[in-house]
Amino acid sequence: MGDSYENMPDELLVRLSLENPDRFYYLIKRYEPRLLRYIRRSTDAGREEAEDLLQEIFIKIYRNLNGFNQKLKFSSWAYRIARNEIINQFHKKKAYVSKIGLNINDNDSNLTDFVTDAFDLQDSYISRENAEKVKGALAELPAKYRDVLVLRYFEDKNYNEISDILRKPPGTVATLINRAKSGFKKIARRHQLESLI
Amino acid sequence: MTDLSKNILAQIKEDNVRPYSKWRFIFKRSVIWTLFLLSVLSGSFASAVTMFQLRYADWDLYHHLNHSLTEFIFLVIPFFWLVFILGFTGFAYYYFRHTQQGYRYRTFWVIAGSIVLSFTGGGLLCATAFPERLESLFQKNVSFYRNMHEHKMNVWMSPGNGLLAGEIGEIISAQEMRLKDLKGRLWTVMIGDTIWRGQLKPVKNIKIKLIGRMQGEGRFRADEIRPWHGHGRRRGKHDCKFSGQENEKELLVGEIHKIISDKELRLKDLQGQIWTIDIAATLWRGRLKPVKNLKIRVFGNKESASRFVASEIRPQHGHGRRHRLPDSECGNKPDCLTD
Repeated sequence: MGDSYENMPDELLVRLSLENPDRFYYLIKRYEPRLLRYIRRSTDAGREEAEDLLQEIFIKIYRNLNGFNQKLKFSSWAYRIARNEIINQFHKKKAYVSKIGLNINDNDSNLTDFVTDAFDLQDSYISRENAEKVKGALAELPAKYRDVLVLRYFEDKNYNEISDILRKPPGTVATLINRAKSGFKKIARRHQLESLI
Repeated sequence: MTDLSKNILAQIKEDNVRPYSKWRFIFKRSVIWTLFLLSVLSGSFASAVTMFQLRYADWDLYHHLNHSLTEFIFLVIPFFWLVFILGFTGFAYYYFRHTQQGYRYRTFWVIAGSIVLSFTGGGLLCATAFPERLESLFQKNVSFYRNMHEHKMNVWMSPGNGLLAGEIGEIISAQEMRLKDLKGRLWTVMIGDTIWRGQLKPVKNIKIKLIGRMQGEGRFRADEIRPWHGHGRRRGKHDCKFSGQENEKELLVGEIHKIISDKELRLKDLQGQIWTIDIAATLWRGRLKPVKNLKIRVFGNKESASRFVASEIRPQHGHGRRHRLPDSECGNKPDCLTD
């Protein structure tokens, strides 16, 4: 029985969760690792703090299940709630807008993909030392640019999904990503990072 | 990982968290759409008055005024209402952005769409008497708005430049009338060769604008007379109803029997009774002219058993376009027209 729930589409699980709260477990289970990773990539929260925030996010998702717009992907809607909650929590601490150390693994393949794309390289290799510098450069970006880069390169979201998460037109998302990449390149050049990659 | 998921679910159950009712979301969405539509509607009201004011802004009078073109444009552009349109467009944009899918559209298209909707609505409202009424309402009740219009009044109080405005006091003859200007001064106005613009007729107590020449102290020759506002559909301050409102007037239907003078005619009603109709201050609707045998509807007030004062005359059917009958039927009669 559990297996059938695990393979069920999100939208159906939403409907079942409204009838029986126990079914919400399968949605939590499905999105727990992704949202936890997103929190850690977007903030400098420790694991425990991130887990507390994740709990708040799932409570909010559960409360608003009746407001879920079936025209959206559930994942986009969940990420939107997660992002709003992150902003609410970290705005209070002023950590979200200021320079923060992002929790990105040095050997995260997405980091390599991001740098390859940002610098229009065919292939690249990032050493552990340079990975730290890339993360430092990313953390120096304004929050709105950091946000779109994390969603695009580390959460593998396409433009339409990012548009639904940020509640911005897809064209604006494209502009933000381009500006974010240019901003990152400027910071990277200032730290002479390009030559090291 | 699974433990965390279980803990979260346990917390939800322990705190007795319940999903919000779907009606809460439906209500919220409805409020946002209603506010959006109200913003567009308010924008339509403002754009209706803007269009109305621009339409009757006397653009052709620039050469009469001692103003530079820039000054003149500043004088006629209804900034007051444009600010309203901008404000309501801002609200419409804000509320549309807060609809479920509103964020997907570019700012430019949302703003352009709101403006187009407002002006389309305004265009439709412009065909009604609404903008004229709203304007009058503001003039009556908003002192700031009234002050803005005083400048317009001053422009028209320039008889030396051939511009005069005021209220018709008395119609002395077909050649002359008395006018009380906006400052209360009395004028004798020569109206022999005057063009009466719009649907305007020489009627006591109506507010008008005159273009012509000053011919000495207290005398003005009017080349053209325009209604103070709009089409001149109003007929004096004591009769502020629009011609479309017929409920308080009496109606007489029949055929023009005889044209006595330009002030009187005889009408044979449907029962065959002959009426004397006072047409001195009558508004002739459509392309209607006083022509014998023409079937008409007369709006106005009964003065006696056989006398009727007409405030408005309309054709019995259509626009009053009639054609002359063949000479074989009419002979030499000048006013021989089809029904």
